[in-house]
Amino acid sequence: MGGRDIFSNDEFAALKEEFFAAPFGDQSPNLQRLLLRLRNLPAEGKHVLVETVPYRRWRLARLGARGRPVELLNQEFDDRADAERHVFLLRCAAIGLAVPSS
Amino acid sequence: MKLQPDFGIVGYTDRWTYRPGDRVDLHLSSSSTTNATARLWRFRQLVPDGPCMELVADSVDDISVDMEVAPQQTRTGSWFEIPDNGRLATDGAFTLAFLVKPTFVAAGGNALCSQADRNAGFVLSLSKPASLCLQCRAASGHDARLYLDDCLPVGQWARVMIAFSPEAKELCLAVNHGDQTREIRAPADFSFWNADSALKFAAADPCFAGTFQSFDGRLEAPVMWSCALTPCEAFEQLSHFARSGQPPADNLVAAWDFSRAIESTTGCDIGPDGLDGRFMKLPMRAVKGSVWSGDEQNWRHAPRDYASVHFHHDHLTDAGWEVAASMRLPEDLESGCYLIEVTGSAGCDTLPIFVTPKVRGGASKLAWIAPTFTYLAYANDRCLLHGANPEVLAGRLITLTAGDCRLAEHPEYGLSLYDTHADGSGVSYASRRRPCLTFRHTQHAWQGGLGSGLWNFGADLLILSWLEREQISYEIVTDDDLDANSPDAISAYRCVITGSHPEYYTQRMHDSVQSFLHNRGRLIYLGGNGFYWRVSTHTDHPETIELRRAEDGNRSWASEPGEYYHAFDGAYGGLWRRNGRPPQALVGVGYTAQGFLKSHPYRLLPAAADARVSFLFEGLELEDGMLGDFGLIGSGAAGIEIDRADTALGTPAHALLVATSDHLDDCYILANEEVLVNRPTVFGELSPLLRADMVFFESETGGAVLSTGSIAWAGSLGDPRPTNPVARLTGNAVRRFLDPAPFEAPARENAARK
Repeated sequence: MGGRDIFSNDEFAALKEEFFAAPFGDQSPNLQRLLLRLRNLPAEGKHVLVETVPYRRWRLARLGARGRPVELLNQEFDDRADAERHVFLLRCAAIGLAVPSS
Repeated sequence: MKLQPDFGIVGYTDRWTYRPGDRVDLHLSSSSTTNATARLWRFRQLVPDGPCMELVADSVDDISVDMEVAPQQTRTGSWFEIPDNGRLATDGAFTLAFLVKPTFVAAGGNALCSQADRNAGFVLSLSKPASLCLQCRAASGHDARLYLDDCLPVGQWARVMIAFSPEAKELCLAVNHGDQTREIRAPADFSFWNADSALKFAAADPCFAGTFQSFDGRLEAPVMWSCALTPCEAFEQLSHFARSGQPPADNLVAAWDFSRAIESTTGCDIGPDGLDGRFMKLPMRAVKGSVWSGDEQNWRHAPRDYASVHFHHDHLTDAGWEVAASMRLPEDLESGCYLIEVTGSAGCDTLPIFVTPKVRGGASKLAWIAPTFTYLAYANDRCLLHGANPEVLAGRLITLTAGDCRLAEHPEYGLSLYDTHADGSGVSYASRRRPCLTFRHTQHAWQGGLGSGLWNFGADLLILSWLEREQISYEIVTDDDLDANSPDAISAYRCVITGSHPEYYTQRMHDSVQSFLHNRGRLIYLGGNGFYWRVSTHTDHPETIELRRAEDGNRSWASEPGEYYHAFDGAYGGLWRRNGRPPQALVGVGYTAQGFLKSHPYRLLPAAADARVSFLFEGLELEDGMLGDFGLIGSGAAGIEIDRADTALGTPAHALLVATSDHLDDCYILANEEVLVNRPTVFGELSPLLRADMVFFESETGGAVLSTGSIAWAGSLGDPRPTNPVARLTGNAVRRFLDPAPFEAPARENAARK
C-alpha cells in the first residue's frame, strides 16, 4: 500500500508542515500514524545518523546487513531537527508521498 | 570530551570490580603494533558544556604503564572438547555417532566434529543447504571426502555416524532422518587417533579451522565405539542411549551424557574410562533435547529431556586477547569509579573500573550500588544495528556513536542479552571478557531520550557527579560484589543508593537488599525498571550472567517453551515479578511503562504534606507543586523507564505516594506484563497504570525506602543548575537516611487510611 492510499495531497502537505515546525514536538494522531509507518522499516538499508562530532554534527548513513559496517552518505547536519526533516522527505517519497509543486 | 575513545586501540579488563592493591590486567588490541601508555583517572563529574557533556577527572599521578599493543584475533563460537591423552586411541577401528539439530548454516559451512594431529585427521562439516561432508586428511597430505547431500535439514533432529574399519580399509558416513537412512562408503587408509590431539564437537580442529565456522545448533549423546558398526547398529544403540541414559554395553569407548552436571562446564562420560570432556566458551545448556515431550518444563525434574547443548558460532564469552600490560592499584586508593586511559599512536580507548573499599563502611556509611549486571546485559547492544527496530520506540532517528559504528564493523566482539544469534535464538549468556564498547563514559544511546542521551553507565555517572559536586562521601558496591558477598557487601552501610537502572538481579543480590532493609537499612532507589529480570552467575565463570526471557515482560526475544530454567543454577528465569518478588514488594514501586523521547515533571500529591516526609522538602520551594521540569535526560525528572506503586503487587499499605508524573506523552507505552489483551489504550495518558510514582515508606526496624521510579531522575539530579529542587530533595533524603535516628512506621490502622 502506498502513502497516497492513506493521505491525500492536502492532508500530506498539512502533516509535513506540522512535522517541519516541530520534529520532536507533540504530534497529532494523523502525524503519529504517518511517522510510525515511516519509521517501521526493516533494519537493513535504513537511514540512521552517525555522530561525527559528539552532540554537534551528524552524518546521514544507512545500516548494513547483519555483521556489515554502516554505509556513510554524503549529507551532514549540525542540527538533528534538519536531519529529521531530510529523512522524512526521503521516506515519504519512497512510499509515494510528496508535496506537489505549485 | 576528555579521554574520548577512538577505538584505534580497543580493550577490556577481566573484571569491572577491583579492590585497592589488586592487579588489573589490560587485554588490548590495535590495528597495527604500537607503543602505548596506560594512565589511571578518578572519575569526578560529567558536566554539560553547551549541547555536549564534558568529563572532569583527576589523574592518579603515580600510575602509568608503558607497553606494546599488538593486533589480536578473536575467535567466536563454543564447542565440546575431549582431551585424548591416548585414551581415545583404539587399534584403528572406531564408530562415532551423535544426535544433531542444526539451526543455521553458514555460507562457508559449519564444523560438526573434528579430530586431528598436526595435519592429519578428519572434520565432519555441514554446508548449505543441508549437506554433510566428511573430510579425512592423511599425514602424507592425501585427502578423502565423503558427501551426503540434502540430508540434515535445519530445525530437525537427525542421527549421524562415522565409522572406520582398518581391516576393510573403508570409511562410512551415514545419516538417519525420520525413517530414512542414507550412507556412503569409500576406501580409506588413515590413522585417526593420536595421543596429542583432542576430539572436538561443534568446532574444527585448528588444522581445519580456517575453513569452517563453529556449529550452530544442538548436539546430543555423542558415543564412540572401538569397532566399525553398521549404521543400523549404531543408530539403534544411539537412540537407546538418548532415551534411557544407559550407555551401549559392547565395545564402548565413551558415551557423553549431556544431561548430567548441566550447571557445570563438564560433559560427563558414563563409559568405562570416564573420559569427561569440557564445554569451551560456555555453550548454552539446559535446552530441550531430542526426546523432550512437553510434559516437563524443569530440567532438574527430567534431565533426560534436556540432554542437549546449543552451540552458536557468533557466541563470545572470552575474547582471549593477550595481556598487554598490568596495572597495580595503590593500596590506599579510595573507593570510586576510575577510568583507565590507554593511548598510543594507533589510537585510544578508556576502560572504566569500579574500586570498592578495602574495609566496607570505613570511609562512609553511604554506598552507591553500581548496577554492573545491567551494564553487562546491555554490553554491545546491537538492536539499533540489526535488531527490533528501536526507532519506533525512540520517536526519532537513531544516532550511532563511534562505539556503535565500531561494533557494526566488528561482529566478533559479541552480542548483548538484547540481541539474537544468527540462528534467531536469543542471547542468554553475557560475559565481560571481551571488548564491551557500550561501557564507556562517552557512550549515549537512543534510550537516553532527547538531550544528553545518557543511559545506564552514562546516566549513573550523573548520579556520581551529583555526589561529587555535593561533596557527599560515598563508597562503591557493585552488583558483582553484592552477588558474591551476600549479604555482607552492604551490611556495613547505613544507607545505599541504587543506579538509574538496576534491572538485573540474582537471587543473592535480591536477598542482600531484603536482608539490608530488614536490618534497619535505608535504601534510595534512584531509578526505574529496577529489580526486574532474574539472572544467575556461573560458579566457574563469575564474569558471565545468564538470562532467560521467560513468559512475560518487555522482551526483545523470548525463550523457547520448556527452557525457562537457568542452566547455571536451576533457577526459574524471567521476571522477579513472576518469581513471587514484584519490585513493589521490595522498594514500593515497579516497572510499568517506557518512552524514550521526552521526560516530564512530577506533581506533588497530598501525601507530600505528611509530616513523615517533611524532611524531603526542607529548603525546597516548588511552584504549583511541580517537581523536575528540567534535566539532561529528556528534559524532565519522570521518564524513560518508569515505575508505579501498586498495593496489589506489594507496595506497603503505609507507603506514602509523594508524587506522580504530571503528564506523559504518547511515546510512553504500558509494559506488556500489564496487558492481558492488546487494546488501544496502552499509551500516553490513556491508561491509569501509566505513570511514574515517587514513594516513601518506613520499615518495621527503623529503616526506610525512598523510590523515585524513574530513570530520568538521574538526568535532573545531575543537572548542575544553581537551584535544583531534584538535587535538593535527594540530598535531604540522603542526609536523613544517614542519620541513625530510627524511622517509625505508622500504626497499621493509620497506614491503611493513607
